[in-house]
Amino acid sequence: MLYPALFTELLGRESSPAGDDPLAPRAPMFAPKAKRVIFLYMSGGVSHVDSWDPKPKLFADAGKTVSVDEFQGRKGDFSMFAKRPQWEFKRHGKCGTQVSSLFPHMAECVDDLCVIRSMRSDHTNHYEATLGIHTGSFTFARPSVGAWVSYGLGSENRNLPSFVVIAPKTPYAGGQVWASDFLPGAHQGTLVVPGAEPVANLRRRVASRRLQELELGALAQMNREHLASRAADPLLSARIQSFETAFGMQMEMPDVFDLSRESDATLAMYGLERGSTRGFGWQCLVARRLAERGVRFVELIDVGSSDNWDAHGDMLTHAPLARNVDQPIAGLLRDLKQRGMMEDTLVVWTTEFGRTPFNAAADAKGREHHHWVYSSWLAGAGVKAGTVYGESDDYGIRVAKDGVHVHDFHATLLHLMGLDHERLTFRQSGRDYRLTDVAGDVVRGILA
Amino acid sequence: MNRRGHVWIAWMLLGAWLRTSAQAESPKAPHWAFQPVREPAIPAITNTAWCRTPIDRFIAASLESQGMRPSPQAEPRVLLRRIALDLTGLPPSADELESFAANPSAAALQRAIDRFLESPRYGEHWGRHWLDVVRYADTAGETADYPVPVAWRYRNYVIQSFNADKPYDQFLREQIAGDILARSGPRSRYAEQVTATGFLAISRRFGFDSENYHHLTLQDTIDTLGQSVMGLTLGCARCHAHKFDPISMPEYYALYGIFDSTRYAFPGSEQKQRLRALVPLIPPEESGPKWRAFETRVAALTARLEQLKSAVPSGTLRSLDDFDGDFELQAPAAGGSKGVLVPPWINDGPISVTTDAQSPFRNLHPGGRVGVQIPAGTNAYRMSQRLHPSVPQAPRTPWNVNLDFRISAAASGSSATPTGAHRFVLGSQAHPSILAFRIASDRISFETGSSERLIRTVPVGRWCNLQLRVDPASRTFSVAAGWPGDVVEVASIPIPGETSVRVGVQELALESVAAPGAGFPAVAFDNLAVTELPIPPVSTQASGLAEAAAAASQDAASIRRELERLLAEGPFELAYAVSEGTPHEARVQLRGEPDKPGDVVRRAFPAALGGGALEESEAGAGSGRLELANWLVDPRHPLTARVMVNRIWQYHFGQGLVRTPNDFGLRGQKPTHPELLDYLAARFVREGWSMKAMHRLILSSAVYQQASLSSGLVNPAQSRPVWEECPVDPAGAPILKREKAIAVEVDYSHFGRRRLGAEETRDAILHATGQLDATPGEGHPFPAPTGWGFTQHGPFSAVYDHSRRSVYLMAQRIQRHPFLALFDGADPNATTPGRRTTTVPTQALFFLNDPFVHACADRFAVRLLSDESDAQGRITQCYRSLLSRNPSPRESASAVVFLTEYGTEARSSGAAHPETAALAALVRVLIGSNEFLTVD
Repeated sequence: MLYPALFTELLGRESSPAGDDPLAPRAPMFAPKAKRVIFLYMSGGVSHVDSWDPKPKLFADAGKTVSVDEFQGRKGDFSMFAKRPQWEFKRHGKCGTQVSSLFPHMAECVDDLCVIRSMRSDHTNHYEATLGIHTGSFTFARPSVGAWVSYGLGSENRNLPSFVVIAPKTPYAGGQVWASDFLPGAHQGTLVVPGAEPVANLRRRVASRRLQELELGALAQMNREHLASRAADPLLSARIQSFETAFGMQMEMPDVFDLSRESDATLAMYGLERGSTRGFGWQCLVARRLAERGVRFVELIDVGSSDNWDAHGDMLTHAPLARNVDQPIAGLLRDLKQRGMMEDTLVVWTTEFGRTPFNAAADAKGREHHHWVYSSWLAGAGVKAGTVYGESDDYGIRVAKDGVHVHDFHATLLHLMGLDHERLTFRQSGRDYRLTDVAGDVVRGILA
Repeated sequence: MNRRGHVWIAWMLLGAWLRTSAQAESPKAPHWAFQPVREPAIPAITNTAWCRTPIDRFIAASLESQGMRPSPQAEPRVLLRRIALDLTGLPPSADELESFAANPSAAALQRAIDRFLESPRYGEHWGRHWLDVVRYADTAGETADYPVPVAWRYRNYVIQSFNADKPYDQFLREQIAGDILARSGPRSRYAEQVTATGFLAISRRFGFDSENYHHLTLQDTIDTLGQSVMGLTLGCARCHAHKFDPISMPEYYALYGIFDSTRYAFPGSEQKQRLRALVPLIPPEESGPKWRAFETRVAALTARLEQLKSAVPSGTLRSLDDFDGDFELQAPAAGGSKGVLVPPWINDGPISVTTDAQSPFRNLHPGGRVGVQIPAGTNAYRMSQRLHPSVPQAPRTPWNVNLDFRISAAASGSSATPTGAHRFVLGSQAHPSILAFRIASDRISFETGSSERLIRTVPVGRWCNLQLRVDPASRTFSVAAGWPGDVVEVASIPIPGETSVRVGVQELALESVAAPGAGFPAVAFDNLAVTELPIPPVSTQASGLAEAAAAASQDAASIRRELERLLAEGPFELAYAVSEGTPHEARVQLRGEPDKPGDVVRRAFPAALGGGALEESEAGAGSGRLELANWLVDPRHPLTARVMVNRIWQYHFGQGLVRTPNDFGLRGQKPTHPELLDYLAARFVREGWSMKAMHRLILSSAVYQQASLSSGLVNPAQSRPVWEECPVDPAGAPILKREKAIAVEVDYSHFGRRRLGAEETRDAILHATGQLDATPGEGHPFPAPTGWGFTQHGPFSAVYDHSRRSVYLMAQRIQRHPFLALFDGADPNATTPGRRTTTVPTQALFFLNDPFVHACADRFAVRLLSDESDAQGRITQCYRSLLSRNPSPRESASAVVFLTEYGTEARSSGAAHPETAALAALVRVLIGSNEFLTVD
């Protein structure tokens, strides 16, 4: 009985973060509004003029010609046809923010949202724009925003990773979207794929817990004897500790995914059928459970690099995608609120770009990529709820007021986490890199 | 970065750091790294008994000055295991350790070092270090991450070069200019030298139409060249003068011109889903005939498929030299890019690639979609290129030229007929204008000296086909010009000029000729080709080459099968490499944007490093890569030798003498032992740039052979942010804030413990459990190129498993290999100067639960059970295989208890083979142990 006893003793010991533990929790630079982020990313480019940005003139002038000097990355004088939005807009909530009927459930939550109608990106292509909204770099691979937050603040729960990405499919630009790149590997997103084994190697492969305890006990014994003959070395002790954490993770992670004790009412709120792991409802509910357990940054990606919001052919393909996310996101917001978690959780909803309010043919059913202006929203800690920030022009073609570039968006996000985007740096190849490159301003107007 | 414990790190104040690092430089003196290497005197010290090599005297001197003492020599077993892992990446066998422990003499140690250096495993391990530095990958990295099926040839070239102890100067010259060296080198080394330029070809591609981002690919080349060879971040100077190092924008574009004059193999991209411009591994005189036979057969099969209205496979490996002139490759992409001319074309003026300029003639290229359009006016333009090096420069047999053109009406608003013209010129490097044609508003004519000879009139708006057949032997050419049903032919026209001029075509150009005060009409060009193959007569139908008849009896399915096989295999072995393009000087790109051209800059080398420019004759002859390579390996170059000896030192000690191995510039750290660095650099050059000689010197040193008794703080350097130490200056640039937080002191008073890297970990598990396949890897089982249709919506993504060494795993750019990502493997997107060692619980989960670990342990357990008759024997064998040692009696006893207890528990939980399960668990315990995974 020697080994299990030793092992239990090891496990019982309070984890003392070693000096070089990259995930040890750290105080932010200044008092933060939010302790954690839930980042909801819609892949493919959600049409702003069909969802969050009402354009009565676009309804009125549908079919009329519009002149633009660039189309899908090509410069020139183009005459285009204004295209009527597919979904009608109505005022919602006490604040009266207009939302289209594409998102009827989220529309009920507008009093909690700050809708940004003046987002701007730098690139018209999926890959680059997706990389941009995640890393602040539109061309080169750089650390993801989640990795930066993890690097800045560490993790509150040492049994769980600090940055978790729940994605049923791979997005544009692949794993670069959640990579730590030059930041230490501990900050990379841990990928959760809904299904039988959501995290690689999480399932115990030996027949019983007791067997694994025997194995871990023997390992701990060996490593302790090895360490005893050497002077204290974090290189060795950190690794010993990592097995304890892994054992904890093996216990705690499945518990995160075990939704059996969630009430029927909760499941209903997320539109999730009991026992199902499909759809955004599962992702949202698991995100709440991760947030509750102190995971710093949770990103949910709704679909992958195909069959997504990229509605070139027909705007009606937005409808099933909206159904997949609408009620679950509303459920998540309500659930966070009823648990008092909205106070210190920042919820972010975004996509890589919007869609053209016009098209080359008068009878085009779809819309093309549009990075000049699009919509996102923030909710929760530190955000001015029930407001709208920024405006696009009459047709939703360009920013008309208070533009929010992706760098500004990131700067604001870090600010809400108590991090100064200009001081959160990492030196690589002789340069101090930041999430926001050499740009970005905190958008004061959306801060509560 | 590996964090070996021999450096102990303290958070120190800047002042303290300055005192202990290299002496402060005077503000006037050039930066230390830009000064020539000066071989220093070997320092006088008191503790001479400890020293085995001159290295030790430098180290001893610094230890003495710090009041520190070195550690005793490591125990023989520890030392040999360390050396084996450092040189080969694999642990030694228990037998090797025992025989050395029995006679640990200096001679025995030297023999062991030689044995490891001679092992092919050495190149696999050290080649991997170089592959880190040059950001090797098996995919291109653009939005769909196209696979590069022959990239592996460069990977294996690197491995073989290390094994052969290829002198580092030669290694560099081959990687930068191997294709040029191959032309004059021995035939037996032709393939090897061409393959070496994979270093340049593996530059990252960007975007979904990667030729539109070729300037970024060239930045990747220049930046990687700078960081890997010179320890300088040259890439910064693309958009602005380097903020810290003396590299100006013109100097960046002086280097840019060299690579812009180079033809890169093209891996395919979302818009152009095929490989092209791969480089033959046989010389032109051998590749020519084979290529012609191949191309003829492909053309025949393709034509027949089109006749049968059957789809032609997409992954077409079209012409070898990529000179079909159809401009398809410069086509604007459907979703956003612009049509551009890319190298080897060089151009100036208002040239666009558009669908409007597509010729209706299909005799040359049935599948064309675009051509080149020149607007009417007075804006001079010129587009030119040097033909692929495989085109014979002074042929004896006839060659053929095809060009389609269309004159358009004058610019709207102007009724006058423009009097300017367009010129089509063919020539050689020495004689750029051997044959020249003029295309004016109503005619095409031929230049003879100062006058013109009319070939035919051509109405405005009509597409006209021009075909030439040039016979160098008789110094004549024949011409056919017209359209279907109306072709004017003129035979046996003497070629003007002196008879001493060899009639060959090496260069061609299309350009404007403006009459005084007048513009020229708009013109479209398409289907430009120079070939030794016969060109079918002008036709709007896809041409039935004569050979197509040969394929006529085959059905579509069998033709497609043959075509797919031909296209997958190619006419001969090809490499992902580079060849010479059109030599020219580049323009500065203002703010790094290619559509904002600035001044032309002459191809040259950075002044701060000695400078120098291409001679005029060199500038016309080639890209300048050979001159660049020679400049880099000139012993007077201040950085090349320093940077490489620093890397070798770093891979043995965990930290370089310069702790920023890719940055020797003003922002990098100064050397901790500047004299030692220069001593090693000078000796490296003196001993013929031999890397193995450098290993022998370092491994023989007392400082390397020290025990790792003490430990010290492992560098927490940048694993955590340190902003509280950095006062914020609201006015200053925030990027200068972290200087003092990364102050470091280095301690060579013991050897630094390190953990195995990603490849070493996987290899050690395979090796120790008897699963390692020692044969070298080659290509990967990629899908056949003819089926490629990868897009950013459905990018290439695969993990190919095998049990060879990890250096042979397929490395993808946008999706990292899961194992390598988990264990801090190299970044395949950017040069990796050193590995980090992070510790995360998901790594522990790998050891506990990963199928790979379980499979290795299970197979090994089964073998142990059959090989050894009792538990004691199995335990002993287990320890010997995994830890290269016998278990202590106490460990044996514990293991017996463990096996019994585990077996009992396994039996009660229903295991089919409890004994095997218990043994496999013991194997996993040893695999997961720190002893297995660290090097003392």
